Amino acid sequence: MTHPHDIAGGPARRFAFPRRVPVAALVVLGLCAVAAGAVVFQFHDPNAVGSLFPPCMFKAATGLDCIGCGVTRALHALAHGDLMRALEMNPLAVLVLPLMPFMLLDTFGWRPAALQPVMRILMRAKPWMVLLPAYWIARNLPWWPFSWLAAG
Amino acid sequence: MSVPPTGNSRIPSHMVWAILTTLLCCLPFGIVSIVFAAKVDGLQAAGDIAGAQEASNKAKMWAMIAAGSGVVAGILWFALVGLSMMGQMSGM
Repeated sequence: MTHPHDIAGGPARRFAFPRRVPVAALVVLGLCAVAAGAVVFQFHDPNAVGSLFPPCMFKAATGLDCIGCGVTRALHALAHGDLMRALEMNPLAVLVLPLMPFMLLDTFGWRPAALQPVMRILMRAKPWMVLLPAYWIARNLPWWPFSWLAAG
Repeated sequence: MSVPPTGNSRIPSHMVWAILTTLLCCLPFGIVSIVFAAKVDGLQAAGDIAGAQEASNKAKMWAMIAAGSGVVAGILWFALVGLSMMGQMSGM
């Protein structure tokens, strides 16, 4: 009697991201998350004093911006149609987050030929490994133009 | 073992999860995950399948740790908020 995990011939995988999830289900789930976020941001303002949104622990501990600092406020600004304020909060996240659904779908096997030239570049990990830490450092430099990358 | 559904058997680098956890909860674990994700393709191209698989597993593990610690931090934060609200109410 073969164990279900042995079918592929490998050892049992403890953490397995689902690989065969229907793309449509993922899209519906993603749209639900976006809609839920938009509703939450109508009623709760992360800019308000005493906001219930969790703060960044790295910023609380060091006073420095992390890569994700300003994302909550940027999403709040986007939910209110204010792209410029969103870019002020976290320009990289605002540029990168719209790519994420496509990159996520790529990892789940949705690879339309028309997107392949772009995806081949985006799905290379080394540029990200350089870009994200570089952004982390750059947005904490106090001089223009780097100061523009800081949250807020 | 873990072969993506399309294309030639590319070992998954789990890079998108690494980027997402770095951007959305920004714990250093996300960066660790990206470093391992970046190793996967190079090792596979060099023919080191076992090494690539190991890097892939580590990238996945660190992405899970990053996401998990983000969730735990969120739960702790809201527990704290709840406690301080209860404290305020009982103080009134």
